[in-house]
Amino acid sequence: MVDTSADNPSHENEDKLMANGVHSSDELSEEESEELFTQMESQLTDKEVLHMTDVLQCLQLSDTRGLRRLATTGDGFIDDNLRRQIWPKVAKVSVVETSPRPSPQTIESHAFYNQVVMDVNRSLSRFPPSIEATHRISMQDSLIRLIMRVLIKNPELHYFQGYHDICVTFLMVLGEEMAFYVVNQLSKTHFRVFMEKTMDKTADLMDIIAIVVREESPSLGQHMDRSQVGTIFALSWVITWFSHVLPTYEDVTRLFDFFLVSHSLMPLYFTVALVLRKEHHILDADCDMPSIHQLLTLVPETEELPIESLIGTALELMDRHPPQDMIRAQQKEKKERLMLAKRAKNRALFGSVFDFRYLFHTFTRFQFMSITVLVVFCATFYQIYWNV
Amino acid sequence: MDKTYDYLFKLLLIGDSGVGKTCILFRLTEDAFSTTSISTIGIDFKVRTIELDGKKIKLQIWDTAGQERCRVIPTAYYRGATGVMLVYDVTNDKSFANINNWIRDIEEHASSDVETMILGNKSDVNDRRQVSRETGQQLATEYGIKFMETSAKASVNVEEAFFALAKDIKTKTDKQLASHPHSTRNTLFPYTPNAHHCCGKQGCK
Repeated sequence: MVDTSADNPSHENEDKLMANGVHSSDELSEEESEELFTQMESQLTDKEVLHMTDVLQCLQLSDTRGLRRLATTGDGFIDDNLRRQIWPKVAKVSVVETSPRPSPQTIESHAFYNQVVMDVNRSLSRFPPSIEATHRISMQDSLIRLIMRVLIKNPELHYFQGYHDICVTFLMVLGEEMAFYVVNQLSKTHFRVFMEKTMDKTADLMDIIAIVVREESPSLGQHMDRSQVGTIFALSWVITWFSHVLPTYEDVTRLFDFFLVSHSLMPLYFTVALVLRKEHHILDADCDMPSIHQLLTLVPETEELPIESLIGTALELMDRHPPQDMIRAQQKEKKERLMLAKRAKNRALFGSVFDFRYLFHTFTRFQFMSITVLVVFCATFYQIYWNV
Repeated sequence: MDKTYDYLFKLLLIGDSGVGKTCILFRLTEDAFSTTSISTIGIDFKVRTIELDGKKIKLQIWDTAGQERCRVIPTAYYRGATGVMLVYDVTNDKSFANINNWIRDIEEHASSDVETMILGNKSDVNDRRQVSRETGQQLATEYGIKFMETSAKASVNVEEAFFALAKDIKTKTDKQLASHPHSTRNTLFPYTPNAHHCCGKQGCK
């Protein structure tokens, strides 16, 4: 269950951050880290203690590379107290650049404001049930401000439904002010493609899931292709970093540790890891879109996932099928698909014109063309053989 | 697959974000209303089996994100659909004005013989109403399609609307079957295009 004291920056926490300026969270003194360590040590296993010692050491040395490595093993950054220190570092946040909060008028007149409010109002299930209604409402207000501030600062970014799920996670861990800097930064890198004017490119990237599945398991790939399930079952997984579908807060933050330090396409590889894990179930299911779509969408919502082992698989998959190769493969496939569709369309049209059966049909738009073709053909034939 | 039904109809719920598509679906399939509903991302479906004229009809109802730019791959969503519920919110005139755009969307992507119906949802909220019943009815009449006001919250007309749509589809299907007795394409079994190489479990292994 969610520990509200740790997971939700209380007002004091947020105020402290704001009062000290965002720089305060960059440094973790030796005393502070020792205090944190003693606080948590009693709740951890030996292995976790070792992992945490490593995390704290990297944090003190500001060893970002070490931190990035630790995000992929053990339990990632373990605890929200640590995440508050680490996430801004690994997200390479620039806090030198200050950014004032926009006025309520600017916020409310923004094109995406209504959509944002609508989605935030429907995000109740993302807040721990134990928090008081007044506190939750004030956090929802913070969430709206946070999202709008990023959108106003970056007019080239377009809001998508699911962005609010991402932002609420950062808000709960980091507090409004630091969440803004981190989300602002990630929206220009990891979430950038989802925030383009259209989501066409996102749809293209989703195809990579099918390509990797096919390469890893041809029989599974074939089964899924035949079912025409596509990849839309994973859309909410990928564009929200699984935060829209995972019921456990701890799993969401653990995955955020991983995705934060990874290539922006890592959620696709994690999806493949999940699909491969369900290979036998999928092969046993009826080969139609609804059956397989439903089977897969229910997995993260209803099953306890072995997150660490899936992370391991996702890393291996990315090693074996590098993102650049997959992007190229996807573009090639798309080109071929479009060409085939165009050829089929042309063939249908061409075939209709030369199909003399249309001569005997009741009037169709091809009848006239078929007659014309027949007349021209006869005329040419006549000219060549009978005309002297 | 167990064939415990006589007909399978694929229906779609479309309309602006926040008009109550997911709540209508929840009311129809679970007979409940949730105040903590969440935004739909991607697509999802639920099933409800009804009985009409002694025949079992399995309604497979698909729900999708309302925000326009989140509707990735609309052709996949519309494929094989025999009916569309086009929903607006009676307390939001923008969602009503957008009905025209949604109709165009249906014309562009759905099969030409798809049955459509317009629903004005949230009819229980009278103090914030922006679209009158008459205005809704008038637009539906202009397009020559059926119309009903519904309330997923107060459970008004939700079941009736789906029964009405299913009845129209059934009548159309029966007529098609009578004139082309061997053609069961689309309406009866929306996924039959694959059937020749993919006939259930065994065929795909």
